[in-house]
Amino acid sequence: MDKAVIKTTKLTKFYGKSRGVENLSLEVNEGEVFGFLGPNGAGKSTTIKLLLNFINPSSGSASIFGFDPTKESIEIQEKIGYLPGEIHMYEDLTGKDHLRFQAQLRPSTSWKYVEELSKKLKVDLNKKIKSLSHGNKQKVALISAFMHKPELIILDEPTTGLDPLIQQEFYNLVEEVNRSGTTFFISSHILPEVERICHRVAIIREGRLVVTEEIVNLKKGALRPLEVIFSENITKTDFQTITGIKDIEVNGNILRCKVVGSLDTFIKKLGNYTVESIITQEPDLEQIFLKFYKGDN
Amino acid sequence: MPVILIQALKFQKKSFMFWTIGIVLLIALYMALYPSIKESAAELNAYMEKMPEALRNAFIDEETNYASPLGYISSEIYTQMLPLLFIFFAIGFGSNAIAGEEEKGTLDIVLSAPIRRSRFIIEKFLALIVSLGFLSVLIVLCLFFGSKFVGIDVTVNQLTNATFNLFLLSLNFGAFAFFIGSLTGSKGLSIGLATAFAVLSFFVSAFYKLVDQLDKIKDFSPFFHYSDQSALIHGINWASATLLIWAIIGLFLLSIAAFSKRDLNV
Repeated sequence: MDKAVIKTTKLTKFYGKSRGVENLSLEVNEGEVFGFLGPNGAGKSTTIKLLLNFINPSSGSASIFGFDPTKESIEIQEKIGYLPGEIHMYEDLTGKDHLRFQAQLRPSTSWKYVEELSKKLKVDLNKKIKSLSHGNKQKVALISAFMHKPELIILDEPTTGLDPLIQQEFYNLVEEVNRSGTTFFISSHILPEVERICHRVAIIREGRLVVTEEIVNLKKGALRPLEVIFSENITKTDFQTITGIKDIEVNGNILRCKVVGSLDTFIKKLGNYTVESIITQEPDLEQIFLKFYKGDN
Repeated sequence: MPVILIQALKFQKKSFMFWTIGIVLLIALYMALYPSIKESAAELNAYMEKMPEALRNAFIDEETNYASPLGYISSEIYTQMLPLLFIFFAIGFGSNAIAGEEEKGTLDIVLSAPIRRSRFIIEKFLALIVSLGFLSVLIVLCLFFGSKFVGIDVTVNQLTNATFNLFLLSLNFGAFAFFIGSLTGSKGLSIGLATAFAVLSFFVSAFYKLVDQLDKIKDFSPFFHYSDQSALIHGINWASATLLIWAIIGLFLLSIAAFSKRDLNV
């Protein structure tokens, strides 16, 4: 069985009467990139703050590396890197000074690695934080989450403000660091991002966990859009009987449809016709996510 | 290494520079005024005599002759100007230490690292002590050399006594602001309550002889313990100083207790 790095059991947080998270039970296994998805205000940041012992749970419990955040937060924080959802830094410091201060708090930091990361993310550490754009501040904060090579990295909305090229660089970085065994817990509401880098996702809505599933399995339930061009005209009824087919549109010799799950029956059916071309795309996870988001799963 | 303490002091570099310039200029001004005050000493004393006794007692150490050299430093500088400045600084620093960082959102930078909240509080409080200590040394030096310049005979020892007393007074209000900040995370509340406490404390010490109710609560006023005797002239009243020190320790321990377990606004 996989070893759980993060485990929460009925973790609940209420701020007075208002709900933060409720009965959240999830496990994040060692070495996985775990996506934590949900609309704004769903309780993603609250969960992270509970894990980091910034706030106390109303009930339930959490454990990270087997330690209880409310009692053994130092043991936990020695092993983790964290990127907050809202970046606030000491504005008068340069990026370098900011990271040096961080490095003093985390003696395992290698400055060579800091320089390597700053090159990779293309950020000038000699500039004062206050003169940096939002995206560049985000990069400095990302470096401080990675620089001490922690065993677990918790990232709250990591790519906000990053341009697409740097986003790509960030995804590569996550993949590279993950290959060396680091576990990731990434909160996000950007679906393609989660699809791109996460192995497993949990979807949270209004403070409650809706589903935890591997991306591969979610994709099985997703609709794959297809467009097939035949050499002769076809009719809609030819295809209606195929299992998993939806939203069929026929226009002369062109069939547009969506297929859930395996394409096997569909392809076999096509064998009866002369096919000129097939255009398909990645299954659309967005619809699945949106269904969970809206709660009409 | 006390990383947080060092960082907190580094952040104060600019502020220290402005405070140093300000204090040097102010003391130079007070010293420049001394010769003319001395000339009108008789007039001034006569004016003081005309004041109702209660009011006179309220504002002036009755043992102090306003126009005598030490009396001038004691009543003009150590009773009015310096407490105001030091308390202003201490409350600003105390409220900024925890609540300021919490409101700016920078608290998670330190607290997501393996740093205990108690260590964070201790180093921040030490930064407050060191900062006030720095200003205190500055005051002793400025007044010593300033006095020499205008011919006032005052020793480093006398100035150290008076400044130490001032340090304890302002640290009380700084610690109070620090405590409110640690408890609530609100800088505004911390500044507001600490300022109100300082003003009330001043009025209690000024008017307790006139109002019975104030007399009953005078022991809670740091100003009362600060001004019960002029430390410049008569040395430190250790009974009072000890009370001020205990109050500081109490507020410091309360701050640790308040901050260690509460939900942070990060």
